[in-house]
Amino acid sequence: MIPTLVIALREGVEASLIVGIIAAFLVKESRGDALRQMWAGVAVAIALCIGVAVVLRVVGQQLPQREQEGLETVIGLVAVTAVSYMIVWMRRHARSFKAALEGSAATALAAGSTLALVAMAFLAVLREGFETSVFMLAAFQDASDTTAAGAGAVVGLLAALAIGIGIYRGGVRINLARFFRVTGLILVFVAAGLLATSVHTAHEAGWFNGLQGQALDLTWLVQPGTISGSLLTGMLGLQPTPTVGEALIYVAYAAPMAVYVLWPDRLRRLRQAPARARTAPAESPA
Amino acid sequence: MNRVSVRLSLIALGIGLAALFATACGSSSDNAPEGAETLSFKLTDEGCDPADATVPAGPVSFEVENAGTSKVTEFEVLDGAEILGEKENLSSGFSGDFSLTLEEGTYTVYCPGGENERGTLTVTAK
Repeated sequence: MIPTLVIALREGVEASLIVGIIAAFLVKESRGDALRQMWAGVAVAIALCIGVAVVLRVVGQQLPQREQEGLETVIGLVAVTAVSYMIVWMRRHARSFKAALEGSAATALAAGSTLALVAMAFLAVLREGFETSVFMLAAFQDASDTTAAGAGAVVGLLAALAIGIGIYRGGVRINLARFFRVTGLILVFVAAGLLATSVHTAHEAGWFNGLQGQALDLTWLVQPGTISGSLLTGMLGLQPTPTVGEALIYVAYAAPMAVYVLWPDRLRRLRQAPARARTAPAESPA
Repeated sequence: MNRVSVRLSLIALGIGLAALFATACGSSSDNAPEGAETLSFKLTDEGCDPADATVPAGPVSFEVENAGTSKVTEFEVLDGAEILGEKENLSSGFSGDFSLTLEEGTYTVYCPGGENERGTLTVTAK
């Protein structure tokens, strides 16, 4: 049961995490309309993934691995852009959340931005969804012990779902300023992981073959075949043996972005104080 | 953009992706071509079993089965650093196959997570 559990967990948890954070974000912003669009998009993506998996099985074809990896790379890079935008947006508005809590004008999210988040949730599900659906069907039909394999896969997917719901619940409950500081940092590592994973999938798609030497041995931390290993790979994009290219891009993204998110507000305010008077009108809600 | 147009655009995107996949499936032949040599590998805690194999140049069908390891769930054939073919998510009791046409040379079979991850695939002249 465990072998299929860890794979379903790893494949499911990334989408669950991104959708959970976007849902909490939209609720925090009181964008119920966008939230409904988001769920519609997620439902379409799930239906599409199951549909493709069933059709492939019926016609006796396998998921084309290279094309699948290529799709994952492109969506991964789109996701990094979207997540980076969220981080910068949160950071920029971190100060105005206090005002928002005190009942004055809420931080407005432009229509284009909510649409981008809706699209992001859709793509996040699509990204791992095809592979996961194919895997789930195989667990129920091909495995030597379909009962154990199927049960494991379902439990793994439910666990991934539970993590997404937990993040959503927790995100809705804590106050805005803290939500953004905590999720901001989580998102930095998620985005860095997505970048590293995109380097990995680009290699598997046959697009990028440089810097493939092993940079680190993280097998003590990311143990293959374990639940903790699945979570680290699925949520933070950590591979057991990252290549030089994967490690470089992870650090190159995560280090400056983490500093950007954690940089104390007071210092920023002091530095920005002279400029703020000029830029204030531009920052007013759209 | 109103909600209807958002949904429509999502559905359109979905249909587009489905079409893309249908095309991709049509063009890649997963079924072994006529006269293909077959190589069978098992995934074990040690890595690929057998670690080394030899096959004549031409179409080769790779049959991969997980013989009960939780450490290795992936099988790759590489030419240098380039992945020529692979099978992922082969957990215990799962099997899968793919085909490649290989020219004479030395290739790597890679079972990430195994104690000896890499083996050698030698392709001889016809």
